[in-house]
Amino acid sequence: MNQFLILVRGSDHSVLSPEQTQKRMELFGEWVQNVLTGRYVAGAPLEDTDARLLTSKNEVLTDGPFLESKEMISGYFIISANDIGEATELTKQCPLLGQFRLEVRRLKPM
Amino acid sequence: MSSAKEVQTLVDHLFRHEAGRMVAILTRIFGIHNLELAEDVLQDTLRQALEDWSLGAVPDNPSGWLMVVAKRKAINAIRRERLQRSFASDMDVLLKSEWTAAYTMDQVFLEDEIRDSQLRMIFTCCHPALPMESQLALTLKTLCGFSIAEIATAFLTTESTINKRLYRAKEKIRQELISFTVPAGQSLLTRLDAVLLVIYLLFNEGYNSSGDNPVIRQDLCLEAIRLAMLLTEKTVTNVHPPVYALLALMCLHSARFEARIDNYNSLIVLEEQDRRLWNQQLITRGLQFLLQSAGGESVTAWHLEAAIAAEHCISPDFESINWNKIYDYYIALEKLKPSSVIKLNLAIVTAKKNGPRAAISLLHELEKHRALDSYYLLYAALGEFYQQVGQAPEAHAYFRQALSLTKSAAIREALEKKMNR
Repeated sequence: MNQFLILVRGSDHSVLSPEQTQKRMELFGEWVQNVLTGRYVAGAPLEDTDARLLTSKNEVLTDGPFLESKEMISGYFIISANDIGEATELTKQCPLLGQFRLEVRRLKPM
Repeated sequence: MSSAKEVQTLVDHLFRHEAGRMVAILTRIFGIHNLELAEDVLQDTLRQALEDWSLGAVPDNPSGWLMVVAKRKAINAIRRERLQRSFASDMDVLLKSEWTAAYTMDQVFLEDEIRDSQLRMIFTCCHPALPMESQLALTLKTLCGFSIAEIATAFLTTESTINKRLYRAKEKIRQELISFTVPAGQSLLTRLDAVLLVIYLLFNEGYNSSGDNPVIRQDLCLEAIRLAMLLTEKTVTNVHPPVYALLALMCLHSARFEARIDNYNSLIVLEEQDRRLWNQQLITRGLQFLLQSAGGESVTAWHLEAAIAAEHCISPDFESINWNKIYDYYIALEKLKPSSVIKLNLAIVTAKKNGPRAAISLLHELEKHRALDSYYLLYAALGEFYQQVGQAPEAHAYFRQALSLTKSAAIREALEKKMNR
């Protein structure tokens, strides 16, 4: 079993109604619970604000976004899967796809 | 700034009312196998309330404050423990993911979910696989917010005994994989009857025990009523007529709590009761519940006991009590639930219907069974009826025996009054 990092790229600033939020959460929960079934390892959404970009000891950029918004990272997951093929299939079903672009990367085993 | 004492009182009061709700919802989240974790989070929340409220102002909505803090502490507990533990199986993954944890938690901390969780807790604590004494202790601890010391006082035993009972209950829940659910289908009614029995025993413990802490005893009665009221709030359980029969019984008995000097409808001293002290509001509630309890397929012991209590309550004075009706109820009750105490009451009612001689022979029968050897009421009744037929020496001897068996000052006074008339 390998572990894969899924980077959630892009940003979504649309204001959702409580119903839309609920719908989105339900879809997401459905994916985590029924599609990943035990292969979810970790993950978190990321705040857009309070970001820092360090390019050297002396240069700390505080005025994000540092990239175009479609390149911004909005969150991540770590899932386990046999190979990149299976990880991709699992990621295809993630309901975030559409609003976001998902980048699947295999974690280098130690 | 609030005084520490004021805050302590407020927290104690809130504890009783909120602890059961908070533990129920926390257990819904963590799973019943993590009951201790739920109790820890509750304690932690209450400790923080005590600290914060002593230093600053008490919030406008203390219950809401407690729930918000409990929710935050629950999220922290999940973050801390998520690698070591699994939580409620239907939301374990959602709680462990930062993407969904807060949202899932918000969905559970809703009023309806809280009530639903309390119902799950009732059925779990009153699971027939647990020893009865553990069921009672666990119910008081998790649903009624009683401390170990208060439970020990209520059952006239030590704190270490109560701790053992609770420990055994939790072990059993784990071993038997007792689930945190409300049973469905066929088993619902059987299990509901088991719940009603626990509530009845809690009530009786408060109403009849020889414990001398009146506050604890009255609290037991009120909590029993509160638990039964919870059953009337959910559609799965509020269609079962015995729920209302038990509520009727508890209200009608509680109505006489203030005036009562004796236990178990003791007819011998009922004439001494001051009816003006009876709580009319509770009587009205009780009679309403009794009406709601009709229409079921079977008449339960709660129905009959409530009907007997109702006869006493609706009668304007002792002389107008409808003894024929009460006699019939006792006959039915004795068939349904043959116990020495009911036989004793039946014998006493027989005196009203068939005269004191009939009662005396029934009471001597009972005396032979020896089950009531140490129950003063048997001898008090014999004393009363021997006095009524004019056999003073016998009456005197039985009153003496009754006196030797009760410590209650009120009952002793009533008995001495009878002896000397």
